[in-house]
Amino acid sequence: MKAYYDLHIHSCLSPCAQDDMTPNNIAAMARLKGLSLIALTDHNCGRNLPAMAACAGEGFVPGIEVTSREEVHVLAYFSNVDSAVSFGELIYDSLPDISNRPEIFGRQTVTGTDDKPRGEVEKLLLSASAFSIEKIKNMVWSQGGCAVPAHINRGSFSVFSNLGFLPAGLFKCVEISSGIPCPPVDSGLFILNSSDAHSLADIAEPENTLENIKSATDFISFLRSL
Amino acid sequence: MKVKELIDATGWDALTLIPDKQITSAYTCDLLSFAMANTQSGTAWITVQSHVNVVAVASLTGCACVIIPCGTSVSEETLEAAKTKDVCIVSAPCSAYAAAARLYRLGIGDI
Repeated sequence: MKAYYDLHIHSCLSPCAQDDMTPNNIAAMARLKGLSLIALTDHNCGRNLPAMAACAGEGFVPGIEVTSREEVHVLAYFSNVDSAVSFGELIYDSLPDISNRPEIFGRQTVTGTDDKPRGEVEKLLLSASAFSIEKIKNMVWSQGGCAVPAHINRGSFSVFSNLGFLPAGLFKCVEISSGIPCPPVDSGLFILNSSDAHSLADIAEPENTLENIKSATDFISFLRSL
Repeated sequence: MKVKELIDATGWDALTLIPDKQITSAYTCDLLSFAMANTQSGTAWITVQSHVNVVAVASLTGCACVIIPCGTSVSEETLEAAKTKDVCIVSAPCSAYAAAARLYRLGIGDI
């Protein structure tokens, strides 16, 4: 059975995302588009994951888009919300003590399952965490998840732009952005194509599929078996 | 100017063996994709990145040395790789701008 997926979506917790990227709106838009497997991957924090999980139902993968100390974006996926949220707190705690300025970067809103704001996150979530890309991969793995470098072919915050090339043997799966050139990658790598949506309209169309994956548990088992 | 002369002139800290290499140019960038395209044999490359891939890029293009500014820590993994590949890593306590200015005053120009 095929699952149409979008495994890289930002909510209103990410300062760069639109304020209407609330859990119910994201879940509704994903359903409308026929997606059955989605992930929420806010920058360096997982505080909207509980509400998003409640709104999205079974085909929801909790994630965090971590900024490594090399300023490379890495998607950290988990099979359950609690692990993702606690990993997110480790990352958040390591961010430098720089406050967000909403008028410049945008709001960082935590919401409830009713989409109503429950507060704002203080530190700027666009800063880099204290951890190297290798350390992040190992931290995620030891907590039962799996790390996937994000948009490796982008001109910024990517493995290729910041580190020149993929560190040998570090990852089994990578995310490639559609529509922009990508240098050849090792044929043994599994490739995900997700939207990196920051607005509702940018959530993926039903174009990318995974076979026999219905839940976060299935997805994490698959990634860890690669 | 030789790498040894740079170390003597600046007091910066060589974290690996100092090679008998001539510095013929300098370049500053933290994106390794840019450094791969723009450094060359004899370049002193200033970057705050200290990931192990820095060693591979410096080795690939033949950099005379890599200068890590701001006293940024360099992992054991990176230093081990540097020793294996004969890449010289130098730690400078000053900013990248100040390091570049120092190199310029010592007579090292652009690529």
